[in-house]
Amino acid sequence: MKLSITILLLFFASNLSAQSNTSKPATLKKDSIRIISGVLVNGVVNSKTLRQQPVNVSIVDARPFYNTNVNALDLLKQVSGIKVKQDGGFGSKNEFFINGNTGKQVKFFIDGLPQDNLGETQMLNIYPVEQIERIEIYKGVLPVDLGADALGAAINIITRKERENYFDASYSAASFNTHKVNFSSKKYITKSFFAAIQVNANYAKNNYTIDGEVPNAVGTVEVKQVNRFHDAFKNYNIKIQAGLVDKPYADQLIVGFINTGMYRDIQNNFVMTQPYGMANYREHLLSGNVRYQKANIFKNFNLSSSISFNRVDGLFTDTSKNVYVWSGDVVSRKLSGGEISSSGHELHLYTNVLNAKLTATYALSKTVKLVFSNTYQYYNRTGKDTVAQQFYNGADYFATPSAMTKNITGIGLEGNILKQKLRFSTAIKNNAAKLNGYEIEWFTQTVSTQTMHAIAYNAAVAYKLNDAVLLKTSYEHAARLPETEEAFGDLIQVRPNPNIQIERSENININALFFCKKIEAEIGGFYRDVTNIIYLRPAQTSSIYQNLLSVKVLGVEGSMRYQPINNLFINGNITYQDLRNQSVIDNSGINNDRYKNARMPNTPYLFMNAGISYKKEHCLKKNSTLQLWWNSSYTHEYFLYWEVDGARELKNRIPTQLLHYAGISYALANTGLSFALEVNNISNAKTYDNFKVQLPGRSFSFKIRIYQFKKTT
Amino acid sequence: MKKQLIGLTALGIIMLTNYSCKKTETPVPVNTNKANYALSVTGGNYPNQTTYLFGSNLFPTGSVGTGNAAELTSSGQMYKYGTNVYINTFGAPATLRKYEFDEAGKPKQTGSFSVPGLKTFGTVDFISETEAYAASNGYGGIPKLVKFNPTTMQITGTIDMSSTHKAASVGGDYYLGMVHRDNNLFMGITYTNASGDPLYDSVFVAVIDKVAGTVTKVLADGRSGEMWTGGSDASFSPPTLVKDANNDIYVMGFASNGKPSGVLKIKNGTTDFDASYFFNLNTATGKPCLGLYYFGSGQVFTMRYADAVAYPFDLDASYNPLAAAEYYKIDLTAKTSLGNIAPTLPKLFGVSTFMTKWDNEKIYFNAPAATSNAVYSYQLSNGTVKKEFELSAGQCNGFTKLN
Repeated sequence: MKLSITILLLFFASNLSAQSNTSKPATLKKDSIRIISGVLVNGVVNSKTLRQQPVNVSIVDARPFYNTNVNALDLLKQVSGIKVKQDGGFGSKNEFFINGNTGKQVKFFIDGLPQDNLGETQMLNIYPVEQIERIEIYKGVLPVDLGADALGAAINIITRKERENYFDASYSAASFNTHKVNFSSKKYITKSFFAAIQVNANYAKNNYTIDGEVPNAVGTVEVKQVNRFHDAFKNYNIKIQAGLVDKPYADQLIVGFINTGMYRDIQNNFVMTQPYGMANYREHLLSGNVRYQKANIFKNFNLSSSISFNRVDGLFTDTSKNVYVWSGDVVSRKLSGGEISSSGHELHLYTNVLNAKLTATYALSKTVKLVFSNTYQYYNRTGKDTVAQQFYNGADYFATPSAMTKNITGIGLEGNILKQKLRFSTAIKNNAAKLNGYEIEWFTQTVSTQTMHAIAYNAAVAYKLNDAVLLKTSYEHAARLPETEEAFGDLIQVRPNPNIQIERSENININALFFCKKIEAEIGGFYRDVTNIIYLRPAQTSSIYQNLLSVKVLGVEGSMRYQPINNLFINGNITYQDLRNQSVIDNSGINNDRYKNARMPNTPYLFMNAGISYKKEHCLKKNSTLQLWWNSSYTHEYFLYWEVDGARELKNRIPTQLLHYAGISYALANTGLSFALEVNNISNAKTYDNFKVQLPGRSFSFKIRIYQFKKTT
Repeated sequence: MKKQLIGLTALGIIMLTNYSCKKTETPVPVNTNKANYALSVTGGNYPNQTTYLFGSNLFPTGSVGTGNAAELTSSGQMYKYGTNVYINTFGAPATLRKYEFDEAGKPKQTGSFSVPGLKTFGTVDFISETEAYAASNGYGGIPKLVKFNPTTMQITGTIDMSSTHKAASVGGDYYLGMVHRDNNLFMGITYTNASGDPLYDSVFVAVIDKVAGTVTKVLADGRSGEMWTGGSDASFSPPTLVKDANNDIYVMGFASNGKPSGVLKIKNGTTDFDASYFFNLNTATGKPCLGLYYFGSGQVFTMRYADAVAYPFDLDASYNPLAAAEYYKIDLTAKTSLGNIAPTLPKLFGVSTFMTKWDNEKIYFNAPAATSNAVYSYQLSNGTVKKEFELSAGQCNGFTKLN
């Protein structure tokens, strides 16, 4: 494998001229463009164009960040309406909050293909920014061509697709023994045939300092500054593509192959009170995909389709009986089981995933188009666990297959009237699924099957008041089918619940956008009425997803980007979201109305970001560029449990966060070389996203990048 | 006139003297915030639930909330010993916290100890101001008893329980209920299989020499099914081992796998089950029972499950909550049921009940029902049951008088 990669790298690195531009914002050509809202757009797509669609979408252009050491997650954290909660350092799991939606309610795509069932190797927190062109964040109605059963939020990563030969390589080193290597290249072998490769690998020891609670010899807990000692994360990612473009029979016909892997130590339980020293999880993904796209395959008829087959193999190991404390010492041994589980595990999980998508548009007139989309997903998981099998008297519960078939069919109408002043889109979708799974209650396995379907529909309009002001509103009756993890669990920390039901929401968004020479601003309001929420019910040993609460969400967000002088940019955003419980719970012995309209606990409700950046062209040397930036983020404190219970001063809370990040980069003229230095959490603040789960303190990183390209003819 | 002046002067002196005497006798201001009672409540709306601990200056009345309460970071179980309360919180590491109440009546944690690797303590038994024991619990646990000083909240030793372990108990050894007598501790054990069910249809009690710090033996008796629930004299949960005025120990066996619920006895001066004594509670009450609340001869109670489906986890056949328990009075000597002490009460979640007593007038008990939570009193003299107060924020899981 290493030899193959070396040969490939040499192949892609050859035949490149010295032409280079480290900060070049690549022009997007025809082959980079997907069908946006059912309309095949030719020409340059930019943030403003996308934001003028009727749906509520935020765009993050990743290209200005190629020289920096950020990843996709870092970019998203700066977007209005988004809060990201992390439970550790690099590679740790994260949870999004987008306009009141959270968890699995937020769908995740790469180039329009759903990533929900593809494991942990494709997660945003490890996705290198150099492989991204832009990130689209949908807040409310989703374009019908995404073909998703989202509840009101989605993130779509659009990868780089420059129409040129290039290679892009970088290495970065950071605190806590963090190393990242990235290489991507694309080469047009003929005018219409190209090959591309993207390789990246990351390693982080994540041995940052925390305040650990260490019981002494008499059991008294002493708070000590200790380093996390079992939190390493590593991954690799190889993507190879070859394709034809601009052929009479295809605008694009691309074949892709993906090979990825990851490993992570499991350092602690949910609330960081119990450290582990041996448990770990590893995963491997093999994937093949084919994409086809053709405009005007028949008159006024555009077609786009893709299919991918994916194999995910996971291994969760929890066989040590050691009992660790935060100093890293083993203080005791258990009688049986593992560090985390009662049975112990050497759990192999084998998952096959098939994704197929077809999108077609038909132009009814010059201004109105009909859009059809169908997404089919098949998921099948089996497992094997010889360690747990011994515990369960020879029964291997995990060998029982879990399967889900999901089909999302949508048809929509999109267009514009009043001389393009009024844009509109409307769609209706049929979401259907069949689940075959099992649950384990009181150690008894019960196999079950269920089918489900739901109709969802939406409408969105955008009215251009004048060249400077755009007004948008949208309504959606959304229905989300359960995800595989929600129905089948991860069998590690989440138990299966194959009887879980569809989640529904009524969504309304209103937005006003303002554009002028120096200022771009947006203010928006959102309303969600979510019922039958699929909620991860936490427990001491393992958790389970259940349909529990109903919630109403009312929120406002505002963002602004100001350019007072050339090359100086100031931006900021603020979000306030008010999530109120609407549920009454029977049979709990609690006054049913007590928590109605109470603010949802453990959910951030006020957060903001601000940043300033400056770019100096021809700095020190002609064509050399200096960039400086400073960003700050603020999250207001919130309570872990219901606000109405307990003395306010004695309540558990996730404290206010104020974090600062800064960096400097310098791109050397005509060499393609750039360097960047960054500092995260400058004030070394002790911060938490989840209760008591401490995040890294101040860290430093250095990055070197080389980028060279040659325009194709 | 002179007499009048003398009289007035004398009167003035008397008044001044009287005033100054009164001044010196002015009582110390009463602190109306001082906590004379402590309560703990499981508050919140499922699944965001946790435990709230708070004090009350006066005996609670009306509807009691948690507005003055400390919020614990996980659910917990309250114990009382002397004027202190202790909370055993759930979640690794197992931690026992000691609380006192400040002048404002707010609870303050004044000590704690933790045992890494354990998720919780099965039961806690207090011997004296300087000696108490907490048992590890649950599957994969570490088989030991932790000896600690409840004043300093420091671990002072451990007793190895590994000799009580049975290899087939892959689901875990559960240490449930504890009582002390002379130099011995008596602690219930349930062995479980991989399905979490009792491995044996018998009641097991470990006899531990607390002076030597060793396990003497494990008693087994097949007349009842198993041990369950982890109450002790200091806890607010259904007890399984109690000691009477004669120093006889009564052991509550749970119904399981065809075996009835019933009471066994370990007579004073012996460390074996009394083969001649068994009180079949299924027969006496007509239904399975759990818990043995003992407040002296003639004042013994248990929780009878009117719907046996809910026994003993308060769940129906579909694992949904089902309240089916009722307080029954029983006679340990005559081995008879004296009936439901409060037939008008709603059916209760039996595992969440407790009874407590601090004077010779009343027993206080909680009534966790499907749609209400309240604390009632039982008049010792005539058996009158009266609702004392309701809880607006959830189930009461601890109520005691501090001063």
